[in-house]
Amino acid sequence: MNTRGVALLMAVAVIAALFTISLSGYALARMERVAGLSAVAEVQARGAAEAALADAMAGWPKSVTPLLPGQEASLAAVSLPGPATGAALVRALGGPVFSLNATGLRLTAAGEPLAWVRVEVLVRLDSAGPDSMIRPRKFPLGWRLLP
Amino acid sequence: MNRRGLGLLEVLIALTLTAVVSVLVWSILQSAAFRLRDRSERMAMEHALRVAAVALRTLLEPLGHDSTAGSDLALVAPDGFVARATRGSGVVCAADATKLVVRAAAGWWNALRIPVAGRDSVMVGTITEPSRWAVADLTGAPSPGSCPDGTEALLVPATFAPVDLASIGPGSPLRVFEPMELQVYSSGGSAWVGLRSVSSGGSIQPLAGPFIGAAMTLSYFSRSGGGASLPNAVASAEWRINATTERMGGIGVARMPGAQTDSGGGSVLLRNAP
Repeated sequence: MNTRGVALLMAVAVIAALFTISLSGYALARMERVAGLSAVAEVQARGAAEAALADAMAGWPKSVTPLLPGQEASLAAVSLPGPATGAALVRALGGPVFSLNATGLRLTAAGEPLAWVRVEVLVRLDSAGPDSMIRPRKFPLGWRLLP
Repeated sequence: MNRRGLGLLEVLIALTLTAVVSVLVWSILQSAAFRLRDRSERMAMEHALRVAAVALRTLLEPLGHDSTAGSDLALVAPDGFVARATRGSGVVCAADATKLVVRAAAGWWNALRIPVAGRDSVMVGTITEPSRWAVADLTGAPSPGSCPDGTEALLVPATFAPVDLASIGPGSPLRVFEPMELQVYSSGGSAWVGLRSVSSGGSIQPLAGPFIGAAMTLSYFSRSGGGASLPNAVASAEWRINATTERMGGIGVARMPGAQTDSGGGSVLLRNAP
């Protein structure tokens, strides 16, 4: 007579089912957390980029301005809590219109990039004043998010 | 070995205990499966809300109005809008009556796809004062070429009025755009937010959903904060979206009692508004 029963088999089956459900739930919760974190990180990266852009829009020394098409010059670098960093540069387009590019980067605690945003503003450069500072003037419809 | 077998009382106790344990296990399984299903559907719903919000922000934020190029917003309504969506951007290195020569070396040309005649148009910034944008339809397929300085270029066929052509030259910024419609539409008994190319006349494609009730309600405001009914007066926009879970009902132990709902809202300042 078989006296072993099926209790062990049933217990294993039930535990396996519960384990699968728990694992799926954990994976879903983790995915949701990552998605939420990614959205927040992008906002922080955008904030850093816009802060650097605002810093650059305040002006820069005339001697820094690039002249040849494609030439670039760094204008501003900012660090925000997060940690997030922003950097802005001016790029010569080959005419009187220049491009101010700002990049925002949200890093993990280990320094790995978590989110990245680029913003561009097209500007014209007003003549240097008595302090030899260039004052950028926003070109109409010149703001955009770069892909 | 005891071979007497089980008595009636022992069998009854065993069956009762088995039944109690089975009921407990079933309720635990049902609860866990329900929570899993609920979580999964809620995630999909939150994702739909997020996608719709990101699309609205991405489409609306760069829009504006220029005295020559007109408004980037062509039509505004509570359940959608028509706007110029950027498909590519670059910098002109030369221009003549039939084409623009656009820098295409690394770092100069950014595009989601190759511009298509009949579907896309171009906006070119002037290098003369006052700053403005000249608009023209794309008249043919772009082809490879070179700038006067010998660097790689893209020849973009477009015809501009002489007065515009005189203001375009080396260093003029260029945008390739496509008029797109973002609209609420119904499908399968639910409301969805979809996108449609106005110039190519394509059918609307789903972007996010399903939504319920008014689905998505957009409000437009002028620079002074009052309501704006004309596209060229819009300086900011607000939206409210009502979402619902898509796969209502479920099967087996994961059967859902009914649809879950949630809503979200947001606002965006049009960065190029006058």
